Amino acid sequence: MYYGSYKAPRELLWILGMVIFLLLMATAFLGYTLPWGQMSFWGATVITNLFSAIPFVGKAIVTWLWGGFSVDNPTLNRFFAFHFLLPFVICAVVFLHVWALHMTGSNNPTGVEPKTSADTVPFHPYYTAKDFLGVVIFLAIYALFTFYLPNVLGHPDNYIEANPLSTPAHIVPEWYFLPFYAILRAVTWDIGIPFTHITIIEAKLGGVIAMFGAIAVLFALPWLDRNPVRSCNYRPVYQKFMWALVVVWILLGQAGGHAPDDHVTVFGTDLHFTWVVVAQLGMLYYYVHFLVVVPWLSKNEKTLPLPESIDADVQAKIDAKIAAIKAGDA
Amino acid sequence: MKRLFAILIAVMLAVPAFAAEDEAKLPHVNWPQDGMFGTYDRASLQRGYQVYKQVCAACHAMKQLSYRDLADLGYNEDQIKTLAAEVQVQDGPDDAGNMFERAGRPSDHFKAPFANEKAARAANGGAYPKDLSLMIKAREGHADYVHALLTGFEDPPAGFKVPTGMYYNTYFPGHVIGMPPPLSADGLVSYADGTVATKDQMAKDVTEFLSWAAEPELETRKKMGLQVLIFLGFFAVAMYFVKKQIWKGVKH
Repeated sequence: MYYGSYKAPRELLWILGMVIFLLLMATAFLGYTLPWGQMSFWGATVITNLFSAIPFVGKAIVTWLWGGFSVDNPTLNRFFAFHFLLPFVICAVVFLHVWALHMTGSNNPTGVEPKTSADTVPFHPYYTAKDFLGVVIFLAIYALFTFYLPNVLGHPDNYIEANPLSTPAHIVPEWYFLPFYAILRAVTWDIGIPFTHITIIEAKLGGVIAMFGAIAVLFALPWLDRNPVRSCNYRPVYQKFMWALVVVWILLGQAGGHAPDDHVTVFGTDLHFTWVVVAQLGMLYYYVHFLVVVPWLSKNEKTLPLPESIDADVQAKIDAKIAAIKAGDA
Repeated sequence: MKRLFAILIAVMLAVPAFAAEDEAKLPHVNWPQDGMFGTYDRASLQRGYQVYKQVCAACHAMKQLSYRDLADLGYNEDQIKTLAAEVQVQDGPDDAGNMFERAGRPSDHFKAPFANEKAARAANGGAYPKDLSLMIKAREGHADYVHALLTGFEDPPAGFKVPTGMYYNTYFPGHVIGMPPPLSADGLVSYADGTVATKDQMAKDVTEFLSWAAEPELETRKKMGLQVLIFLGFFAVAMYFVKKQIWKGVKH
C-alpha cells in the first residue's frame, strides 16, 4: 500500500492478494474455534451471529451455518472440515496471484516501471537468497513464540472447556483480528429516519456493515487512488496520512482488546473516556482516510519529481552516500 | 522510515492488548520451571502430588491425567501400579451385562471425587470445585495466581461482608470464594521426604505439581526450542553472508 502496488496495471494482482487475505482470515478464525475452549466457543457464537444481522434471511442463514439451533458438535465438525479445506483454496489463489504477477511484473519502492535491464536483477539467485534470509529470520521469531512463549498471545479462558451456559466476561478474538473487532463494536447506535422511531439499520447490522466495509474499501483502493505517482516516497502528503493510518490501526487493535466500557488509562492515569470512543474515532479516521483523503489527494497532491529510472534512483543514492562520506573526511 | 516503523512495533508490543484487572498485585514466586532453561523440581512435584492427593482431591478432579503420567514425576512402574491400585474404579459391562468395581490400573484417568457436577455441587454448598488439569494455564497470572490464591485467605477488612459458607480471599476476583482455606494449618500433610510442610511450602509444591499437569511438555519444548533456535541462528548468519556475497556485484 505504501509503494502503491495496487495501481494500474496491477489491480487484478491486488484483488487476488485481498482474496488471499480474506481466505486467510476465514481459515484463522476457523482454526481458533477448534480447541473448543470457552473463547473458541464464544468466538464462534459471536462471529456466526453476525449473519443474523442480515434482514429477513439472517436467522435462517445462521441455523444453516450452525447445522442446528445452537453452536454445537455439528458446527465444530464442519469448521474442522473447512479449516482443512480452505488452505487448499488459498494455495490455488496463490497460483493465480503469481500468474497475475507475471503479467505485470513486480512493483518497487520507486514505483517506476523498469525500463532497461540495468533496472532489474533475475529472481534467482538474487531474490531466492534474499528471501531465504527473510524466511529464516521469520522462522526464528516464530520458533521463539512456539517454544518459549506459547501462551502470551492466547487467552487463559480458552483453557476452560466450552460451556454454552457460561459466557466469559470478555470475548476477544486473536490479536490479529482486534482492529476489525474494534470496528465491529464501534457502531453502537441505530440508524433510522430522523424524528421518527423507524429503524432502518440496527446497531448490530451497522457494526457488521462497518467491519466488512473496512475490508471492502481495500478491494476498491485501486479506483479510489488514481494518482499516477505510485510510491509514497514521492507523495509527501499521502505519506503522512499513510503513517497516520498505521498508528490508527494499532490504536484500533488496542480498543479491540479492551472492554468497550473500560476507561482508557495511560501509565495508570485515567483519561476519563472509554475505549469505545477510541474505536469510534479510529473507525472515523479509517473511513475518512480511504473515502475522502485518498480520492482528494489522488487529484490534488503536488508530487515530487520521479526518478528517471530505478537505476538512476539507486545511482543517486549511492552518489549521495559517497558525497556524505567525503564531506565527513574533509 | 525504518526506525519509525521499529518504534511503532515496539510500542505495539509494549502495551498489552488485554486490560489488567485492578485486583491485588500477585506476589511473584521464582518457579524452577521459569526462564529459558527452567525445568520442574522433581522432589517438589512429588510433594505437590502428595498435597493434591491428600487435600485437593477431596473435591477437585484432574480428569486429563492418567496414573501412568506420573512417570514424569520420577516414579517407577511398580510405584505407579501401587498408586493406581489404591483407588477402585468402575468398569464393565461384564459378560452378564453388569458394571463392576476393580482396582485402578496405570492407564486409568485420575479418579474424580464426585460422579458428576450435580453431585459435586450438592456436596459443596452449591459451589462447583473446578477440574484442576489445566488450571495453571486457564487463569490470568498462571502459577503465581494459584499460589497467591492458596495463601491469600485472610480475615475480611472491616465493613466487608462475607456471606455465610463463603470465605474471604485477597486474590480471588471479587474476594468472595466458595472454597474453604484448603491449606489451613502447617503440617497438614506429612511429607514422605521429611520436608517441613509449612502452608507456603505446601502451596508452592502443589502449584508446581499443577504447573506440570497443565504443561507436561514444558521441558521437551524448551529443549527442542533451544536446538531449533541454535540451528536457525547459524542458518541466518550463513544466509546473511550468502546474500551479501551474491548481491556484491549489484548496485543497491
